Amino acid sequence: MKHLLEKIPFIRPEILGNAQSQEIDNTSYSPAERQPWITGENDNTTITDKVCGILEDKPTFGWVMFFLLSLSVLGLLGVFVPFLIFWGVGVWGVNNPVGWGYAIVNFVFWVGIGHAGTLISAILFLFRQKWRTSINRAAEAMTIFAVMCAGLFPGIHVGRAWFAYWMFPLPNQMELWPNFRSPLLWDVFAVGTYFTVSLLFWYMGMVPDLATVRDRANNWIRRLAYGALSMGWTGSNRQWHVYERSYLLLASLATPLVLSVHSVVSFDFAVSQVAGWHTTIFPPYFVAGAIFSGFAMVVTLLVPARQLFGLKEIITLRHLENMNKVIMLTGMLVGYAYAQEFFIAWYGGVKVEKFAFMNRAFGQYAWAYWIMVSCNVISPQIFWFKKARTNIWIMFVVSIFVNIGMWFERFVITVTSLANDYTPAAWDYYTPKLADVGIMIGAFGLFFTLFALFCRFLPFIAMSEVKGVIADAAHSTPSEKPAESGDAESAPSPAAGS
Amino acid sequence: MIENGSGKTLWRSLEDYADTPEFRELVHKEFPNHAPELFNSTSRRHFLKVMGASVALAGGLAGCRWPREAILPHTSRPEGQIPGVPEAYASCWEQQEVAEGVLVTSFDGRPIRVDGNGDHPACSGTATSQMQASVLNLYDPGRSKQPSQIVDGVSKNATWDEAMIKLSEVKSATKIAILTAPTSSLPLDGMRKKFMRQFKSGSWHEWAPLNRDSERLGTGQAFGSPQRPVADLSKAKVLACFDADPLMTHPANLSHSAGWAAMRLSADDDEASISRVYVVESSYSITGGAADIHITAKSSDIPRMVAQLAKALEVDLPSDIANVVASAGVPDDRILKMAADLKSQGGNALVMAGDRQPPEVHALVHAINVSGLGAVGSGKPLEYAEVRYPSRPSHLEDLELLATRIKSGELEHLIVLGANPVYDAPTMGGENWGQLISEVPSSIHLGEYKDETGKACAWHMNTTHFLEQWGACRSWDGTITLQQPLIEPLYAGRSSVEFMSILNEDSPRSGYNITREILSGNADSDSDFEESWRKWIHDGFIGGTSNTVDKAPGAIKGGWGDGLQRAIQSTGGDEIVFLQDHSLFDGRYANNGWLQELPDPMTKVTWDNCAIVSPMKANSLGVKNGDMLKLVVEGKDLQMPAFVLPGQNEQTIAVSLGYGRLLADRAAGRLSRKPLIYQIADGVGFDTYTLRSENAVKQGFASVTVSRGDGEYVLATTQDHNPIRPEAFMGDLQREAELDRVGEFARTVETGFSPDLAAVGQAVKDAGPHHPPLKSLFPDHEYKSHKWAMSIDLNVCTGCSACVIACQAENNISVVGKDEVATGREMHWMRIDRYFRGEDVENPEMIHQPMTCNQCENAPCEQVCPVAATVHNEEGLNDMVYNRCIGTRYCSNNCPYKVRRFNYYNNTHEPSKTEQMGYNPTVTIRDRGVMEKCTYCVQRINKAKISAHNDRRDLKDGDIVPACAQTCPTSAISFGDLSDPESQVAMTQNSHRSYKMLAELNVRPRTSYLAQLKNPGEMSPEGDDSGEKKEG
Repeated sequence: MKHLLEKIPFIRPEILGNAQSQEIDNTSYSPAERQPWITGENDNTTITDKVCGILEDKPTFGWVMFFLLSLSVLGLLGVFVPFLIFWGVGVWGVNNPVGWGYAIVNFVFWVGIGHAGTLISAILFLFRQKWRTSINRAAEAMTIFAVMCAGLFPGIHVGRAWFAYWMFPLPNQMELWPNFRSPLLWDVFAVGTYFTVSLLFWYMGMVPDLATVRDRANNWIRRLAYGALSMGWTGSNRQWHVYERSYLLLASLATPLVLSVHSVVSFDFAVSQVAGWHTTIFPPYFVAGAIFSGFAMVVTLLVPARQLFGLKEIITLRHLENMNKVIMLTGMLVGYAYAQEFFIAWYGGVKVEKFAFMNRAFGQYAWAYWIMVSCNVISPQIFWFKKARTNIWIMFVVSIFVNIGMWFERFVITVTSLANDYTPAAWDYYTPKLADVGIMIGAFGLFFTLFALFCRFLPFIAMSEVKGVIADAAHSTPSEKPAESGDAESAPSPAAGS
Repeated sequence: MIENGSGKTLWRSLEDYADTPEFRELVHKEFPNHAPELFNSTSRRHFLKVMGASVALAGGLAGCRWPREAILPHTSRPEGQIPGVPEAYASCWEQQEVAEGVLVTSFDGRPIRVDGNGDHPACSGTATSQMQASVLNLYDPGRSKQPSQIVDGVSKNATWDEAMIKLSEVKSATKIAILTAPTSSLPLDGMRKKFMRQFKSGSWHEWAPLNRDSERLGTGQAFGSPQRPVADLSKAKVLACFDADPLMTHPANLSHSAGWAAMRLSADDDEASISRVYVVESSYSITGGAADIHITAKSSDIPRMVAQLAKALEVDLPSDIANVVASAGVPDDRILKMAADLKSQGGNALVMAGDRQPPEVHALVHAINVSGLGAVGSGKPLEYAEVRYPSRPSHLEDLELLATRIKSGELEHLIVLGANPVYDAPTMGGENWGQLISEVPSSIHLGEYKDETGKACAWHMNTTHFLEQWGACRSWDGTITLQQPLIEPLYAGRSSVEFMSILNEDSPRSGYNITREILSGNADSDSDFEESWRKWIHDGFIGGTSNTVDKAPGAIKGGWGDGLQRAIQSTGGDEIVFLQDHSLFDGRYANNGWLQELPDPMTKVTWDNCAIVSPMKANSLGVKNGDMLKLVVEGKDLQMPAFVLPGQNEQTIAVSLGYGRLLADRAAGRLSRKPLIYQIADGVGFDTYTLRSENAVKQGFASVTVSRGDGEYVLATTQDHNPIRPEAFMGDLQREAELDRVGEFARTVETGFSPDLAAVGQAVKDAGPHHPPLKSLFPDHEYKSHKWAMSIDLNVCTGCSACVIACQAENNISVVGKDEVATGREMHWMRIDRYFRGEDVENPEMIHQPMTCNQCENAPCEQVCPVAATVHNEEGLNDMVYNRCIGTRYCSNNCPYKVRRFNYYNNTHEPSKTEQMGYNPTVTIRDRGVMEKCTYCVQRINKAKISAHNDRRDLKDGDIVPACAQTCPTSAISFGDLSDPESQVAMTQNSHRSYKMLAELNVRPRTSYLAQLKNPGEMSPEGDDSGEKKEG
C-alpha cells in the first residue's frame, strides 16, 4: 500500500512542491490597482502545462479514489433502475395524492444545477465578465452532466418506461401526437433544446483546447482521439474568426435558454391547479433558485478540484468570492420569493392556498420547510462577511448547505402541495422507500463519475481563454487592462505555438 | 332494470323437462343412441362440452359448467341466449336467517355479479356490499375443494366416495347431534323434521355468533309468542333507535334504507317534509351517522333510557313493568324531546332496539310501539310476522345443551353444518369448542372452507356456494325466495340439504328435487305445478307468501319486570361491545379480498379490526391511532390497536368481530407462500371472539379493563392518515382546514319537519365559496348528442359502501393488500369520504360523501397528460385510454378530487383460473403503470346505446344505470343525460339542493351533489321549531 501511495500521489507531485500553487489572496479591492485574475508567475506555457498535465500525467491517488467512489455510487443506479423497471414505480414511496416524489424532485434539482454553467459561459460572456474564463469549462461540464442526470428521471419515473418515447412527437401510422397543452411536453422541448445548445456550446468552446492536447499527445491513441475531437483545428486566423463569431452567436442563443428552461420546468407546477403549485411567481423564482443552486454546485466542485489539480492560481480566491456573491444575491432572491408566496397566499384570500402555505410551514412537512429556509435563506447570509466569502472551508460548507436546501425546496414544493390539496379525505403522507433514496444517490454517482472522467480526459480549464486574461497577471497595471479586455481570444494562439 | 326473462324461462324449462319421464322419452326418440350419455355427467360428450366451453370462453378455464340439471347440448340455441350476452337469473342470498332476493348476472355460464331483485316484495332491488362481494367467494381459490379426514392426527385428502362410506356409517348410528348455522331454508327445515323423526336420539342445535335472540325473546316476553317486527321506515316520521342500526347491520337493512330514504327525499316534494331520526348508541353506526340527533350512551345505560322514554310517553304497561319503569329515574331533556316528537306523529313514529340490548328492552320497546305510540296497523310503520320454531331456546342455551350432551359422553357423531363454533363460540364451562369436538368419537364438518371447526373435526366435507345450489328461504317479511344454481358446483360439493338427504334418505336426492317437493304445496291449486314453479324460478320468489300481519299480536303481557329491573341497573366502569363487522359480518367473509379491502364506513380502516375508543378516552389512556391497547375481559386479555373515533361513548370500547382467523391448513402442511393456497384471511386483524364470553354474548356487552398495551401497529386506513389528536381536534392545522372545507364540499342545511325549499336553496348557495367570474383559456367543448351526468344526494347517502363493491365487481378493480393500502395506493374508483363536523369532538355530526370521477367538462387531467391518454369524448366523458397511458401520474396530481388510481404494480398478476372466471369480461383489465378511474360505467352506456340502436329507438332515461347507482340502497345516485331536460339527473341537478363541488376551480364537473338536510329541531324544553308546530 505504501508503495502504491508513493507511485500514485494524492496530489500531483510537481505541484506539491510548487510554491506557485499556493493560495494567494487576490480579493482585495482597490480602484487604483485591480487585482489580477490569475495569480502567480504564470505565462502561456505554464497554463498549458498545468492544465494539460491533469490529462497527461498519471492519475493521482485522489482522483482514483474519487472516481472509484463515484463509480460505486453509480452502481446504485445500476441496481435500482432495473429493479424499478422490473417491478414498477410501486418500489418508490409515491402514492395516490402524492403522485410525484423523489424522481421529480431530483429532476428539478438537477435541471437547476444545470443552470450555472450556461449562465457563466453565455451570460457572463455577453456581459464581458472575464472572471468566467477560469471556471466556465468546468461549470459547463457540470451543466451537461447535471442535465444528463435530470434527463434520466422523466424517463424512468413514468409507469411504463418502455413507452417513455411517446412523449416525443414521432410520426406514426396512427397519427397520434403528444398533447401540446401539457407542460410535461414543453419540458421535453425545453430541456432537450437546452441540453443540445449547452452541449454544442461547451464542445465548440473546447475545440482550440482539444487541439492543444492533440498537439502535445505522445501516443497514437491520444493523437487519434483528440485529433478527431479537435476537428482539424489549426488555429489559423480564419478559424479564430469563425470560431469567435459562432461562439458569440451560440452565447446569444444560449442566454434566453438559461431563463426559459427553468421557467418551463416551473410550468409543470405553475400551470397545474394544485394549491401551492399554481403561482405566477414560479418562473423567476425557479430561475433564481436554479442559478443559486448551480453556483453552489460549481463551488462545491471547484473548491476540491483546484486543490486536487493544483489550480489555485488559475481558479483564484477572487473567482470563488465572486461566485459566493452570486450565491448570496440569489439566495436572497429565493428568500424573497418564499416570503412573497406567503404574502400572496394571504393577500389572494383563497382559502385553499392560504392553507397550502400554512401547511407548508407548520404542517406535517414543516421539518422539510425549515431545513429549506435555514439552508437557502439563512446560511448564505454569512457571505456578508468577507472573511467567510474568502474562506475555503466556510464556502464549501455553505455550498453544500445550499445544495441540500435547494433539493429540499423542490421536495417541499412537490410533495407538501400534493399531500394536502383540495380534498381532505384524500390527504396522505409520502414516505420515500429504499429505491427512492437509492436512485437519488445513484444520480449523484452518475454526476460525479462523469465529472471525474471529464477532469481526467478533457481540458478542465479553458486554456485559450485564460491565456487571454494572463495579461492581467503578468502586467497587472490598470492602464494596460482596457487594451486587453474584450478580445482576449485574439491573443496569439497557444495551441499553434506549443 | 332486470334482464328480460324470456331466455331463462326456456332454458329453465328444458332443464325442468330434463327430469320428467316425458322428456326422457322425447330425448330417447330423438337421440336413440346417445340418450344415456345426456344424463351421465361423466360421459365423453359432457367432457367435451365442458372442455369446449372452457377453451372457447376463457382460454382454458377450469370449467364453465352449467348446473347439473341443464346438461343438454344446445342442438339449437335456446331462444334469447346469445353467447357473449350476459343474462340475469333470480336467486337468493341468505344471512342471519333472512333471505334477500338477488339477480345474478351470468356471463356464458359464469356468474359475475350479484344485484338486488327489484321485483321481490321485501327487497328494493339493491344490494349490500356483502351480497355483491359474495360472488368473489365462489371463485375463491382458498375454498375447500374436497373432503378430508384426520388419520393418525394428520389431515389427509379424501374423495366424496370415501366420505359417502363414512356417512353410511353415521346413518346406522343413533346418537347423533347436528349443529347448524341457523337458516330459514325450507328444504333444510324439511330435512330437520325428517332427521328428528328418523333418529330418535338425534338432536338438532343451532348456533350463530350474531343472532337476533334478544328480539325474538323480547317479543316473546311482550306478546307471549316470539314475533318478527317488520318495520316500514317510509312511514316513520320520527324514528328512535336504541343501539339499533336498521340501515346497515340489520338483516332487513335494504328495505329499511329504502324506506328511510323515501322519508328524507320527501323534502323535495311540493309539500316538503322530512323525518327526524334519533339514535342513542355507544358506538357510531351507519344509522347513527345518518341521524338528526345522535346521543352517545353506554350500551348498559341504554335500557334505563328506554325505560325513561316509556315513562315520558306514559305507556300503558302491566303493573310489574310499570313499577320498574317508574323507578328508572327522571328523563333528561333529550328523552323528553324524543318523547314529544314520537308522540306528535299520530302513530307514524317508531322505536327500535338493537341486538346488543337485552330481551326486556325489546319487550319494552314493543310495548312503547304498540301501546304508547300506536305504531302498528295499516299505514303505520310496524307489522309483525311469525317466526320459525317459536319454542326454540336461545342460541347460547342451544349450544349449552349440545356441550352438555358432548360432556355426558353418550354422543356418537357430531355433525357441524356450516357453523364454526371453534372460532366464534364462547368457551363452555372452561372448555373451548376444539376440546369439546375432540371428545366426540366421530365428528364431521360440512363447510365452504376448511375453517377452524373443519380442522378440529375428524372429517371435513366441502359444501356448495349459494350460487351452486338449490334452495328456498324466507325473506324478512316471510316471502319464500328461491335459490337456483348459476353454475355446477366447482368442486363437487354437497349443499347442506343434499348432505342431510344422504343421512336421512335411502336414495339421496338432489337439492333440486328436494326443493321442488318442499314447495309443491305452494302451487296454485287451479294451475299446473310446473307452471307455478317456472314462474317462481323466473321471479325468484313466491308471491303472496309473506306472513306479516298489520296488527299487534296481542296485548302486552307482564312478567319480565325482574329482567328489566336488572337491565336498568347502571354498571360502573368501562364496557366493551362487540360489533358486527361492516365488511366481514361474523368473519365468514374473511377470505374475501373485496370485503377485506373495503374501508370500514366509520373508521376507514381496511384489512383489520381495531378497538374503537373515544377521543377523551384516548387522551386519558395516552394513545393515538395504532397504539396497542390491552383489553381484559373476565380474566382474558387481548392486545389490539386503538382507533380514535369521535362520537364514540367515552366509557365504551367497541371491537368488531370476524378477524384473526386461521383458515390455511397448517396441520396438513399445505400452508404455502403460493397465493393459490395461502389464505388471505389468515393473520388479518385480531380475534375478538376470545374476549366474548358466554356472559358477553348474553348481555351484549361486558365489563372491560383497558390499559395501554405494548408498541404500535400499522392500521391501513384510506382516510385520516393523520391521527385525530384529541387534545388538538380543533387546534390542529389540518383538522381546521378540513372542518373549514367540509362545509363547502358536503353541504348541510338544518331545517324543521317542513323544510322551506327557497331558504334551503339559498343556504346551499351561501355555503359555497366566493369566486371571481369563471373564464377558461380553452374553448368550450360542444356536446351535440348526450351529456352524461350524475348527481349524488348526500341527504340519503348513509355511507354503507355498497357502491364501492358494486364498482369493484363491475370494473374488475384490483385488490392490493394491506401494505399497499397503508402506502396510499388503494384502487377503488369510488370512495366514500367521511367527515366529522361540529365543535363537539365527543359527538360531532358525521357526513358521508361518495367521491368518484366528476367527469369535468373543463378537465384538469386532460390538459396535463403529455401523451393525450385521457381525452374528452363527445358526450362529455373523460375517457381514459389505457393503451396510450405511459403513467406520468400528472393527471392524478392535477385532479382536485383525487379520484384517479394508478397501477403502481401489476395488480392483476397471474390470477388463478378460478379467479379469472369472476372477472367482468366487458371491462378491460389494467396493466401496471397505467392510470385508471371511474368511467361512469361506459361499458353500460355503450351497451344501452347499442341495444337502443338495434331496436331503432332513442335512449330513454333509465336505460343506463351505472353499477353504483344500481346498487345504492337509498337510491342516492342518479345518472342520465343532461341534454334531456326530463331526465331524472337533469331534474336533480336543477334541484334547489344541487351544487357542484369545487366549482370555483372552473373545472365544471358533471357530477353534482345534493345538500344534506338535518332536522334536529331546537333543544330547549319548551321552544319547538316552526316545522314541529306545523306538524303537531
